[in-house]
Amino acid sequence: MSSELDALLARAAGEIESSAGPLGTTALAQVRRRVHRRRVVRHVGESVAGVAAAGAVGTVVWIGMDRTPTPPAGPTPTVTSPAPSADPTPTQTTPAGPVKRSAKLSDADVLAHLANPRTGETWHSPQEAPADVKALLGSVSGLNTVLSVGERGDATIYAVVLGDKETADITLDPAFAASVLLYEVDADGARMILCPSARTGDRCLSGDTYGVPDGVELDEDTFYDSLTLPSRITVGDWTASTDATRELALGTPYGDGTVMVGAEVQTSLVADLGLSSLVEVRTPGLLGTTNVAYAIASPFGALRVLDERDLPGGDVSAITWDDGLRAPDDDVLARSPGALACTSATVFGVVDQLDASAWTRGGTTADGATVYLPTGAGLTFAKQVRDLQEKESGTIKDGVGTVTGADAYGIGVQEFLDEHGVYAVDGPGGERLVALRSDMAQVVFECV
Amino acid sequence: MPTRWEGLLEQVVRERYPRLVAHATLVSGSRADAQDLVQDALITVFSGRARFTTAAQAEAYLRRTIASRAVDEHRRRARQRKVMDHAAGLAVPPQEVAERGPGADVVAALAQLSPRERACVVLRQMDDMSVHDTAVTLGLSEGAVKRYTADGIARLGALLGTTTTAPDGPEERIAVRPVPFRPQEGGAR
Repeated sequence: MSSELDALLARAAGEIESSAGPLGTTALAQVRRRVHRRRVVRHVGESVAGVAAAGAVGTVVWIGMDRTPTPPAGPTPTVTSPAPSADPTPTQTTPAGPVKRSAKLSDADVLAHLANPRTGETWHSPQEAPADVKALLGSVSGLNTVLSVGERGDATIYAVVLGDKETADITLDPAFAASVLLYEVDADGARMILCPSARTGDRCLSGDTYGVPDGVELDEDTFYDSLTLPSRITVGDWTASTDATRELALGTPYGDGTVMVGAEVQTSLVADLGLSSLVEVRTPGLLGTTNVAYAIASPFGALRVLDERDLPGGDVSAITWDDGLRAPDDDVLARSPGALACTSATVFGVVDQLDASAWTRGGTTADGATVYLPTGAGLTFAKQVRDLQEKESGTIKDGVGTVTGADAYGIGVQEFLDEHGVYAVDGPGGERLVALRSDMAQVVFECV
Repeated sequence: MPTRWEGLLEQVVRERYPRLVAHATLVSGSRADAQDLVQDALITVFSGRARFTTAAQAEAYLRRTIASRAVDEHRRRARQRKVMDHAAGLAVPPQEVAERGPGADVVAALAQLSPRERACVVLRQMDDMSVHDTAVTLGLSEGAVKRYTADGIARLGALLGTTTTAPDGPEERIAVRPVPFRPQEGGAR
């Protein structure tokens, strides 16, 4: 940074500091009282934990009678619709010695532990939390729903979903999504679980990103085998990664809780992953399309949507085009051609009455999967996509003011087609998935 | 007789409150929000179980908490607004901010940055916080911190009329999320 800008910032900080008066005695007394109160609140958490733990004992006994450990399973595509597990998952015998995080985990081990977690957690379908737990955990920002989702040892595991049935929508921008936070409550109080993965290096939550309820401690030590993602998921010829998803900074490492609060999300099972599963998420799109994304469904119903970069054909920069078109300099990702800007879980589109013969080979993904480009009727669809993105565009340009339509969008038909604005890949079930380049999507001023 | 935490709280407030207000003003881009941010951070930090024994250590915790709270507060407000606007699919226009008083030009310029850009610029440039620590504090990836810092400094320089160079390299272009074009950032990201 220039010394000039450095100096301006330092000067401003100095001026503000000089002009800021001291904190008044009344305000200081209020701060002191509130700190006192929060410290006392911990005892409330402890009494809540005692009641919750007592309830958990019966549940664990029943679990042991009802279920036997599930053997590790490789991905096996099916077509049934998964829902949060209605039955609690089995209690496991923890091996001798402490279970530790590891930087290098083989996918075989991760899959085995997904089915039979060493870390001792059990999960059940979300249930309404007791009123005192709601009071304790429900003070994070905005609308939220507090749910009991499992047990681990003496602790009850609660999820806070940042939304409710009326507002939750998996396609909302991550900043407004019904993200899930996880807490354990036991006799020592309540802890916010920041680092759920057994793999060292997977992203943790920052304690204050979503606010920390009064009296809740931050816990970076607790992790769950049953919430640790394998690095690769292969279904037939289709392989998804989780590398980008596990590093993703937006949202939480637990994913979206839309299903948990009772809002409808259409999913279908792609592969079993022990207590979790890989699912396809479908939402209604425009232009006769259905938006498609892929997500890891947790044992308690959270959906962790896979980043575009982790999906075959999701990263435009990684496509090698047969006609020699250069990869874009900036990161360009796939978007559903039937989705507008500022939406999530809309990576590809399934097009009604798609004529597969109108799409011909045009390139390959980094993994060697075929990428298709439109011809004939496919070109007609591609033009409709461009027209929609242009029609819906609007922004504010420096020195000009508000502009809309073509003035905001600025990409003509020929450029759109020449730059492969729309392309397609095959999904895990062989279905043709159509994508729109993110740099040719609708222009808006700002999502927030 | 005050407990140990009470004594430290009073010392921090006595010795460091104006500096924390300045930090909060810059990181939030708002003089109006600064005092609330500082007082909320004091309550959070002194209520928690963070282990610190000196005013300097407490100030470090407080500065991080103020930064993350500033971002969170913006998210909270935007979230409430978005829930109301979502059905209509409204794009949100930039907020007009009229700052007055000491450092008003810089505060007004900072207010034009996005909350994360502002927090990254202040933590990286003014607090000399590492990319890693900034990422942890704000719940971002390190790549995102570099991107937000570079973009924020570039925009700040343009607004204040200075020549700028991003600390993490002018060539750094790391996508944060495929959100649409934002006029002052020069393209999709």
